[in-house]
Amino acid sequence: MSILTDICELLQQGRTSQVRALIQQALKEGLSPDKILNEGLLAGMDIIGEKFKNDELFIPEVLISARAMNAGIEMLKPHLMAAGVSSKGTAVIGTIKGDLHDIGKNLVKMMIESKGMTVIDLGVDVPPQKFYEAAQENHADIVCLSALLTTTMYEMKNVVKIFVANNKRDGVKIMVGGAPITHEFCAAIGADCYAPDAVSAAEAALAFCSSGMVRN
Amino acid sequence: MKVENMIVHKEQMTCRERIHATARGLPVDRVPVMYWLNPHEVCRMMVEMQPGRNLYWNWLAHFLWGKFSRGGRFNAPNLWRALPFLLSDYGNGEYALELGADIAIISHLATNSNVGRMYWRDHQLKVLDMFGIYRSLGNGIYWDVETPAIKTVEELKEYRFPDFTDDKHYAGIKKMRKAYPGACIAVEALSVQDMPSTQMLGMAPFMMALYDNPVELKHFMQRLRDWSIDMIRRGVKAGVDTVMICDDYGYTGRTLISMDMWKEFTYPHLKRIIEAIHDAGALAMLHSCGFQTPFLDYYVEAGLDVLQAFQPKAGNDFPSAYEKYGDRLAFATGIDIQMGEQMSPQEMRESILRNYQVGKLHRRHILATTHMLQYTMPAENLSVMFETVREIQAGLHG
Repeated sequence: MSILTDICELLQQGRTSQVRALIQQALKEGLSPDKILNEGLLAGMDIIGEKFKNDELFIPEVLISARAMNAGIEMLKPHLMAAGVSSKGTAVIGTIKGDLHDIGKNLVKMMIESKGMTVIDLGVDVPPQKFYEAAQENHADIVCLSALLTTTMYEMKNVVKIFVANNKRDGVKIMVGGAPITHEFCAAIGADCYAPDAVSAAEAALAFCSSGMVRN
Repeated sequence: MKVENMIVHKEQMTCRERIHATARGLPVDRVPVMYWLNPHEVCRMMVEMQPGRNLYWNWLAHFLWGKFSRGGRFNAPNLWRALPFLLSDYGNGEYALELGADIAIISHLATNSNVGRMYWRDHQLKVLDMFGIYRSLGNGIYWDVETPAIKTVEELKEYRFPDFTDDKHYAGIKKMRKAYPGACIAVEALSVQDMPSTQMLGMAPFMMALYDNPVELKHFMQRLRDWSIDMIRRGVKAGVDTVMICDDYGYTGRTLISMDMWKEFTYPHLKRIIEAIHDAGALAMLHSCGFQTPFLDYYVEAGLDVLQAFQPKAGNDFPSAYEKYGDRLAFATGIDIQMGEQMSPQEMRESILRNYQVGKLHRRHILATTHMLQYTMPAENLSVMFETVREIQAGLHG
């Protein structure tokens, strides 16, 4: 009990090496990897997400906590696989073609990962075809598109078009976000969801997967 | 789409006088105007809306817009996406004045124009700038960072800023001053948060360095501030009226870092830069993207003259902020180019007129684009935008 609380607390402080050490200890003590993941790491990131949403924490705090979470997940990965623990869903994420801004995309990625989902990060300046190919290859439930510029946001429409053209639109939810994006724009290009911030993006992603609104 | 003769009424003040009066809340003959134009949009406007008076730039704009637009814009070859940057300073300088703007913006002291070396690799035009940052266009139209200049704590400690002490770096300002004695010349300058985070270190490394290496980062920021102040002094001596400090502190609805952290790491340097600008005899304008409302008290305390952008989509409420702070701080805002692309022409017109009316409350309003005007702005909206501003300048809206 207390070791999981400690992992949760230290993760929130971004103390990567101490999180690693405690996970090692927890595994030695026989705690199951999914318990460490859910009640230690993801519980900690949940609190971070909530505080971020409430403007109690900001990007630097999210980044150092996510670094600790990722380090912990890396340690747990072989144990989780051996125990047959599966992800709650898969999202493909990237900043749209022509746009190299990545902080918004990275925040969304971290928040979705903190919900226990797998995220395939395609990086920045991603052509529409690459989103489609990555979604097919990874059997993604969700495709997340980010844009900061008004000049690049129109590329999002081309991603939707590719899924439609290949008759794969029903199998995936397309989420959009970024400074110039609005609900109206989202509807106009035929995407499924506009997320105004990283936390609501992650909540929407988890809701899509949990509700069976996407394949799985 | 032709908008001719932008300035239609008899003016009693020079652009320079108008901006200085506005910054101090003094009466003006009309609201001052500021346009900030993306160079690709400059090319398009010179072709489709209003030619520039300079024949060479006109020819170049036609040539480059043709290559860029016929090449499929984002799909155009690298070279045709890159070369419009040649019109950056012309577009925001002479051409903006011809369009009726009161401020000519020179990007000289910021990063984008400081090309150190251009080269061709992997079928792409790339740049190594004077800061040591490797940049490329990727699939887009901006020289974005491919490899930052600083990758380790050691590099952060030992980084040497480029030498900008030679007079040749300020020749463009002197030339502009001589050619347009009545214009308000603004020059972009750097402060301590945005440049390290988005360009020199990268956003995530910078953000984590606030926790991991605060001492080293603070020392670096202080060196950056002093370097920037030295350039600002030289720029003002060369003829600059307004220093446009470029430093983004927010994004949609939020500040990038906490206010406590901003007050600890960033604010002292911003304040010192503003003091140095005033000591040099110029006005201090801050361009800062994203959510700005929490910073306004500090901007006033630091003596900032003008805040530029104040984007509504980022959560900034111009009417309420102006009511509270407009007696002490001028706002350069009101032409919402971010949401403007999705507005109908009528909505665009109403939005500009509404903000113009708000701005009359305190005499500290510069009617300005809320960021760089892009070539994706629908032609009808663009036309309406300039017509509406022209009407305002002519005194048709009181």
